[in-house]
Amino acid sequence: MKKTEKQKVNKEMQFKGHSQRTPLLMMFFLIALFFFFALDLVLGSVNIPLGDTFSVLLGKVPLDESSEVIIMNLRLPRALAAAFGGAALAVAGLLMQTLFRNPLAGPFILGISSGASLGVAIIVLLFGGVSAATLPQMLRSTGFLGSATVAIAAFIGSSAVLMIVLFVSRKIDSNVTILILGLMFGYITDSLVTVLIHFSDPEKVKAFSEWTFGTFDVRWAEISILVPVIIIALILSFLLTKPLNALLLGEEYATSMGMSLSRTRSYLIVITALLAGIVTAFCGPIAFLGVAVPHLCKGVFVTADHRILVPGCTLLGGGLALFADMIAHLPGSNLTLPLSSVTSMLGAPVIIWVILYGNKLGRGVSV
Amino acid sequence: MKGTPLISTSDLSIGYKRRNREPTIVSGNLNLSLMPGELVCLIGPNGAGKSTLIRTLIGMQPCISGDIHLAGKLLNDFTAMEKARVLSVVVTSQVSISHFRAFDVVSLGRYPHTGWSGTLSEKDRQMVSYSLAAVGANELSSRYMSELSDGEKQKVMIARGLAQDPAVLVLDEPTAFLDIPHKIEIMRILKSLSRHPGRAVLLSIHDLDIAVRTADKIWLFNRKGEFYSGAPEDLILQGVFGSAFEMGGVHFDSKKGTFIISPEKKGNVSLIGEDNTEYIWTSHALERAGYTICNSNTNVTIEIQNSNGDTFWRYFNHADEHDFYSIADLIQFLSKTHGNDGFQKPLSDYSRYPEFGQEAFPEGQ
Repeated sequence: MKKTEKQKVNKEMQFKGHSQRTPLLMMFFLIALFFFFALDLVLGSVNIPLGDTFSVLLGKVPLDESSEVIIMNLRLPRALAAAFGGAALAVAGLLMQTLFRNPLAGPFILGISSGASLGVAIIVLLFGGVSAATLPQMLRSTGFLGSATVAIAAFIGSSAVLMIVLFVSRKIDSNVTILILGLMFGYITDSLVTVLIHFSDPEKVKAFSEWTFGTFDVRWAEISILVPVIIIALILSFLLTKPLNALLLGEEYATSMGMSLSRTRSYLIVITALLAGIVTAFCGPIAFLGVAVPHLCKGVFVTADHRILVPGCTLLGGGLALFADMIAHLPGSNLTLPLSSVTSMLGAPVIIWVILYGNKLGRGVSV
Repeated sequence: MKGTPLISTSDLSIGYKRRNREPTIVSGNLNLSLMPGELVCLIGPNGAGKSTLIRTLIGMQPCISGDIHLAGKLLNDFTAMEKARVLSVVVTSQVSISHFRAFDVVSLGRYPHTGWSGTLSEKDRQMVSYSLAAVGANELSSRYMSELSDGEKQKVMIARGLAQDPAVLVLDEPTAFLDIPHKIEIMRILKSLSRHPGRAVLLSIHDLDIAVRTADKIWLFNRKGEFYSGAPEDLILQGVFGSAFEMGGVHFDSKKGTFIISPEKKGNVSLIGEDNTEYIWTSHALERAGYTICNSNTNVTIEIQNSNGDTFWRYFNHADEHDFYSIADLIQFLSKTHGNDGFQKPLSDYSRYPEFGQEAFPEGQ
C-alpha cells in the first residue's frame, strides 16, 4: 500500500518534472545549434583562426583577406543553408509522419525528391546536350548547385508531383491511399529518370549524380530565397500545431472534434512542399534527416505534442545538418564526402534504433 | 425535465450512395429520438446497419433521404466546430499513440473550445480533470497511453469524449475489446454519464445480455434492416429479440433474457432440493447437458442433499442409486449411462448445428 503511494508520488513528480525539463532542453539545443553553426564557420579545408572568423563576421578586415572571401562567400551561406535546410527537412518529416501516422514517412514520402530529380534529369541529361560537354564542365567549376536553372527545374519537378498528389487527395478520404499514390508517383518519376540516365552520356550522368549527392554549398542569391521561404513555412507549421495534435488520434477522431481534414491536409501538403521542395531545389535530395530527426525529438522531449516538437525539430534538425555538413567537409583535408551519405550514416542508425528498441521503452514506435 | 430530443430523425433512410448507381439502402423510414438522460443501446446482428446508422447520425456519412435533427437543429446546418461542441464520438478502432500521456489525450477533447494553439485555460484543465475523474481514470492521468491496458485506454477515450462537454456522447462498440468485468465497468460508467442533466448516451454493442441489463431503451435492427425501439423488456415481450438474432442451434430464452445454445435433448429428470443457489446451478448444469427438468413422470431423479454443511447430489432411478460430490461427476455419470441415446442418432443431426457441433454434443462421444 505504502509502496504504491510512493510510486504514485514518483509518477506525479515525473509528470511535473517533465514540463520543467522542456524549456531547459530547448535552451540546450538552441545553444548547441549556435555552437555547431560557429564550428561550421571555423572548420574547413583552409585553417582560419577563430579570432579572424569573428572579426570577419563583425565586419572588420582580418589580417588575411582571403579568409574574408572564404567565410563570407563560402562558409557563411553554407552554414545558413545547413541550419535552415536541416530545420526545414526535419519539420517537413514531422508533418508527414503525423499526417500519415507512419513512422517511416519523411519529407520526400509524397514523391517530392523524385519529382525534383526528374526535373533536374530533364535539364541536365536532355537539354544539357545543347551546350555539349561544356555544361558539366561549367557546373563543376562554379559549383553544380550554383546553377539557377537546375534549382528551378528541381522546384518545378517537385511542385508538379505535389500538385498531382494534392489534386487527387481532394477526392480521397483515406490518408493511406494518398500515401500509396505518392509512392507510386515516385516510382513512375524514378523510372523515367532511370530511362533518361540509360540513354545519356556518362559525363552528364556524372553531373546528374553529383546533384543527387546533395550539398549545402549555395550562394547568397539562393540564401535570399531559401531562408525567407523556410522561415515562413516554419511559422505556418507552428500555427498548425493544434490540428496536428488532433491528428495523433487518427482522422476519425480529429474530424469528430471539429477539424477539417481536407483543409488541414492541403495546408500540410503545401507547407511540406515549400519546406522540402525549396531545400531539394537548392541543396539536392538530402537523405534521412527528415525521417530521423522527428524520432530523436520525440525520444528526447518524451512527448508527441507538436507545440514542443515543431520548435524542437527546428533546432535539432538545424544542429544535426550543421554537424553532418562539418563531417562531409572533412576538416583539415581538401576532400568532401557526398552529403547524403553522411546524413544517411547518421540517420539510418536512428531509424534502426527506433524499430528495434522503440517498443521496449514502453512508448511504442514513435508515431 | 425531458424537453426536446437531442437527436431525432424523420423518415430517415440510411445506406450507401454510389456513383452512377441506385443507392444501397440499408434501412429506411427511421423515426427515432434520443431524449436527454437516456442511455440507448443499438443492437443488431453483424451487417444489419448499426455502424451505418451511427455514422449517419454523427454526420460522417450522408443519409439517403430524410432529416436528422441534433439538439433541435438540422444536422447539416452545423459547422464541424459547432457540432463538436454538442456531440462527441468514441470510435471502435483502437488508438495507438506513443509519447503521449492520458492527460494529453483527454486534453485534445477540449479541441472545439480552445484557441488556435490549443492551450488549456484553467476552466479547460478543470474539465479535463473532471472527465478523468468521471470515468474513474484519475490515477491514469500521467501515464503514457502505450502503457495502458485495453480497458484503461477505453476509459481514457471516453474521458476524452466527455471533455468535449457534449450533450450527446456516441460510442461505436465501446466494449468490443474488453473482457466481461471491464465491459460491465464501462457500461456502469456510461450509465452514470447519461444521468447528467441534459446529456444522453448512444452506443452500439454486441453483448445483448449487457444491453438488456443497462439500457434505458434499445434500438434494434433485425436481419432485414427492420428497426424496433423500446425498453428492453418491451422488445423481449414482443418477441423481436429472438427473431432478430436466432440461428441454428442458438435461441433466445425470453425468461432469462439471454441467448442459449440449444443442446440435443437427452430426456427429462426430476430435481429435488431446497430453493437455493445449489438448486439453481444444478438445474443450469442439467439443462446444459440436455436434460429438461419436469418434476413428474421421470425415470431419473436427482436430489440435492446436505450433510454437515457439505452438499452432495443423489442420483436414483428404478434400480440404481449413486452419490456425487460435485456437479462435474454427476454430469459425467449421466452422460455415460444415458449418453447412448444421443450417440446412436443419425449423423444428419450433427449437420443441423454446424457451428455448434461441439457444444451440441458435449459429452457421450
